Amino acid sequence: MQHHFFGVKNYNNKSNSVFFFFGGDKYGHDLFSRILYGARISLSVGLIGIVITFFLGLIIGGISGYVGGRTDNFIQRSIEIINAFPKLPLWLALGAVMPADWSPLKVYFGITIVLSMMGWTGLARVVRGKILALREEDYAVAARLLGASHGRIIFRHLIPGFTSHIIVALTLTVPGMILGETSLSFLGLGLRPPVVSWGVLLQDCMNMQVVANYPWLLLPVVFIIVTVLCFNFLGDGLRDAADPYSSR
Amino acid sequence: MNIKQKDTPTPLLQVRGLCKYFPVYSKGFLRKQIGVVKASDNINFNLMPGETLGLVGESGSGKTTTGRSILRAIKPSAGEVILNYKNNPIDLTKIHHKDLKKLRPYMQMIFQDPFSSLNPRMTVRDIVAEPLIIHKMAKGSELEDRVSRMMKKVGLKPEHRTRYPHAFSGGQRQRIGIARALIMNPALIVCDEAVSALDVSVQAQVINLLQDLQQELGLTYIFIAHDLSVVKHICDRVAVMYAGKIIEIASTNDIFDNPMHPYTKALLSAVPSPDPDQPMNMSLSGEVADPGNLPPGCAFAPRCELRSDECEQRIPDLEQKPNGRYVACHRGTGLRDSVIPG
Amino acid sequence: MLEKNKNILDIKKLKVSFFTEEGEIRAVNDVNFSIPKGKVMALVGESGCGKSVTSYSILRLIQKPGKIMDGEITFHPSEGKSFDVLKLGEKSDMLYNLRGGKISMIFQEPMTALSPVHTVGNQICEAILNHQSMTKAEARGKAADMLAKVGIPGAKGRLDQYPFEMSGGMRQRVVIAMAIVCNPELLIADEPTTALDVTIQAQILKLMKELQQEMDMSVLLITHNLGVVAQVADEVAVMYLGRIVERSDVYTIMKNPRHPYTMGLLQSLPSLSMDKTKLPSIKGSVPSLTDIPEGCPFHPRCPYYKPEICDTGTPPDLVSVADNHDAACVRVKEIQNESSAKEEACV
Repeated sequence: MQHHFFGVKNYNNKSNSVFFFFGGDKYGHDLFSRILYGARISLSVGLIGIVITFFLGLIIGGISGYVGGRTDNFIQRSIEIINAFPKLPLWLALGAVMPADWSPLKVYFGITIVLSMMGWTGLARVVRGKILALREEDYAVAARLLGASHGRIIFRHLIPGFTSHIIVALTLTVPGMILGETSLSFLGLGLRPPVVSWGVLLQDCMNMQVVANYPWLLLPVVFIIVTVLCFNFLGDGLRDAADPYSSR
Repeated sequence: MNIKQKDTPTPLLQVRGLCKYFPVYSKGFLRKQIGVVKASDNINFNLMPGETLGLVGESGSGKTTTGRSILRAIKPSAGEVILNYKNNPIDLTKIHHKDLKKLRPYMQMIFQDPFSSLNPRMTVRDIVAEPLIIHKMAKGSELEDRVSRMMKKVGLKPEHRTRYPHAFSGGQRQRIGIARALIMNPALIVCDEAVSALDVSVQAQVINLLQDLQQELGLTYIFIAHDLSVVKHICDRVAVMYAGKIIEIASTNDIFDNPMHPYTKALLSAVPSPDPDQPMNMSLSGEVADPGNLPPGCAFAPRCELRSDECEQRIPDLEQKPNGRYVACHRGTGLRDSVIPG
Repeated sequence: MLEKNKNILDIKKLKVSFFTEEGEIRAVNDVNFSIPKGKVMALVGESGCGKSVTSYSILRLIQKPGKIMDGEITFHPSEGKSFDVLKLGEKSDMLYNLRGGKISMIFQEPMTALSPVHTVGNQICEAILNHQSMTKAEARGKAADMLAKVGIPGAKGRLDQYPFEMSGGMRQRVVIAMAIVCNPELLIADEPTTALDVTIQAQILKLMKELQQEMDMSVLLITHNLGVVAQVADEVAVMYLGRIVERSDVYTIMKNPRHPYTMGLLQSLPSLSMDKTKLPSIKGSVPSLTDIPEGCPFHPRCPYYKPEICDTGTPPDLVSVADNHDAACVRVKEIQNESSAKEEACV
């Protein structure tokens, strides 16, 4: 049994030494439990982030596709501008705006909002493209000729035609959010200790010596990879389940 | 709008100078408008109640654009479409879209493609009932009852109401589309190539259904088609379109027995007859005119064997001929002698 | 001694199935017919009857999940020995030379049959260079000749155009030029005019007929349009649900059909020479291939259906009803008596 699995001998003057499943960090914290706790933050950032992304993307993309013309042009150019910003420096800038004396909770919400502000553009484009295509389908024209209101056409005829695409786009956004939080926190601009997230945990691995001498501190990376893969598989699975026509 | 009442019955629909132009933009960032495509140009006709008017032409002739402009599925660029709505003449092109909703039950459309015209995520019942729900015309058991009756009327089994469109064949889907169009008891139906996507054996069923429904419900049809034999079978009058314009409009018998415009004649001769003893005899060369790039004179002139200098310079007007017939051709007078030998 | 065969192609007991989630779909089921040399043979039927699948099998173009289950497709070239196309190896030179060489194909949609990123000239030259030894310049010259032959004005200049710069009719002419550039002995035309306007369709049909006579080609024409068949074909086979139900020359089929399906099809055509009356139609619709009725596949829609004769046992085989006229109907004789009796009653 390697030595890092165990805590400090006779810690608290107890006779038994503590068993650390993934080893400990430099303060003698159990890495395993810190990873589990960190998962709360890292995963919920992604989930709350996509809720905001979902509303922004659906509404802005929907307006862009359904109204068309100048509005569409304006929204599309704005999306291009947002996408043209180098992501990392922008995160850094937005992260730096958050005052250092904010409570960890405020910082956490700040981070999610920053990430969603960057993340909605992809979904907006999917929504716009689909609405543009479906709007000219005969059944949408038929609904218009029946006298259906815009709301009815959008919610009854257009959106059900691409819910599967939305679900897939959203599930595929979650990993982006998780990675975003991780990168920000890793760089020290997102969440800060004592809050625990996978990104914060990785802050300890900033230099080569740590990596060389205490490789188990990199274990959160494994969790990040597995989580991201899981969401990708989930997205694929949902696409197949939600769209029975794709196989034909 | 003053429409004088005459002794003759009022037309259900009067189309006056209807135009739909699509703008053409230059390439590049500024996208300046550099011209227009005259998809349909100066369309005039009257439609009597209970009549079936055929709108015939090849691709790019503007027949679909015309049909959709009449129902205001697209907004026309110019002209008037006067619908006689409960003895009130209403110009559909000027009316605000909120008032248009009230008129929707009065005029409906049947689409070409039975696959894309039905929402794949709605059941047959939802599709057929939707017009009634939108216009709050029926609720609860009355709604279900009307849906069932309509489905029976178009030859569908009411017990299939909970199925989705993909469970039906092309012909049955077209029946669903017809049921949706008819459930509000409209007066005017635009059939946009309603039978062209169907197999021969099913096509005949749908044609019969459309004719039966017309007799039973007193419907007025605008029947857009490229298949002349179907048009001959179902229409009372036929308007032939070429490059966005009506070039000849006359009763079905006149058009088919004695076509006056050289294009109409060519079109008729191009239909392959199922009788091997009637060989195809079409001498028309060249391509269908591109409405984005029309010659200065008659659009048909480059393909016409009878063209004169005048044809290449001046666009012919639609001129009245005997029997309520209109022809747009400079060579119209004495055409019969020169075109039809023997 | 070279054996002289009057047919260019004999198809025997061809069976093609598609394996999908819903099970095995028998798209072509026991199809037999021959294409006579120098004639136009038409394969007619509604959607899903297997006419395209049959034509694809001739060039072995059936792809997964489809599979040719059984049968023989014997090709009799004018020079050399006859051989069974289905026995050729998937990657053999024989098959390679056959496709686009001895047998070539025209597809329905001229836009998808041409590559959008190559000029028309390059695409025709490629077809030439694949099968003939020529220099590039010679091939280009031949390509220009070919375009002129299919009636494209200004052929030289057109060589450097891309397909999207041409109209639908012009593109179909290019496709035809590509198909006949290697002097094929058999041309398969799969709905060659369905996507075209009537006046253009008439032009293309006329062109095809002229080329066929000039080059003494055999043509297999796949279509659903009975008018096109009557105008162009010499021999006709009518297909329904993966089987040939009637086969004869075009006059007999159009004037004196014997199978109830063919009769129904012809009657349900609205024609220019007919008055505005109710169209006789075939009841019901074409069943799905997953659910082919037992016995004669046409029996649920047949006006001459007799229980226990039509709906049991194996589907009827093609039997000769007259010289060069086969029909797959067990009641074919009785039907003729019945229908003539009906006519007399009407008079």
